[in-house]
Amino acid sequence: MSQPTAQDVRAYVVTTLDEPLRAAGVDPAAIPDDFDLHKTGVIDSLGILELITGLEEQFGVEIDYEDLDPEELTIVGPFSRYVAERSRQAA
Amino acid sequence: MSAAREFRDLGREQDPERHIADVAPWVHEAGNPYFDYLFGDPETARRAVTAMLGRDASEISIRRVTALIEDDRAVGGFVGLSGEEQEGSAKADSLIALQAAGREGRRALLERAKIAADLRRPPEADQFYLSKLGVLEQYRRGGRGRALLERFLETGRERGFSRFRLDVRQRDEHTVRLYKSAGFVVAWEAKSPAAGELLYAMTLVE
Repeated sequence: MSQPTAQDVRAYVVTTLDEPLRAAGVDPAAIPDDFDLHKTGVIDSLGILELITGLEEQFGVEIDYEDLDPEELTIVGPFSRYVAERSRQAA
Repeated sequence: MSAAREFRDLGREQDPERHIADVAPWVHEAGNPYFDYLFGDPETARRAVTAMLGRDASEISIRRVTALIEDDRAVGGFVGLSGEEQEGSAKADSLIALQAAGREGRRALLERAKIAADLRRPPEADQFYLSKLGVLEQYRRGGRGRALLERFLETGRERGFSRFRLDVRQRDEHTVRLYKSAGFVVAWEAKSPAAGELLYAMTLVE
């Protein structure tokens, strides 16, 4: 798999979480950049682990998240850009 | 308690990190069997606990610890926080868990976390939660546990809580008796995936 772009990561997040996003009354196609998946109750701590593990397996990327601000871990825009950036550096 | 003992909120200390080496063993023990099960082995769990203690946003940040200080050492203490604060720590602690498990260990961590999540019910937003309480082994049997529990309840009352919640292993009979004597009752029980141990969730309403 080639390195994911921020758009690829975002698309993966939105597709994977389609059901809980809709259950939370959010249109998956129109979530804003600063949408926080955790604060809005879309995912819990287990959901965070599932998302990261699934993402790495989907794109074949290996990221250690050492320098990621924990707050940004579940905010769609910053998280997608972080994963894309680290994937590029690791390649 | 003798005059040589005092409680200190480590969040107000200049250099709380100096207490991590003393706090880590009893926090690790108080969090078992969950920690050792989740991380797969005691050594990985110990590394994760130490990392969490050093992180401000963690549920068990050293800055959230109320310590019992004797001879300038944190020989015991507790972490008390609201259900809301506990939920808010999920991001930081998930990151630390991922890092501690390493990339090879993430899938296994996830599988164990799924099993553990079915057994542990998080505290409610209006409950004051006793996340951890413990005393270093060589300082036990001196009434310190009871003093810490009373301090935990006082802290919760000062913050306006009248509902309290904690989790305890059934086989820790001495600790279960201590909590019952303070008015806690068993709200439900669950079988831990680690060695099939029974866990009690206990609540107190004032």
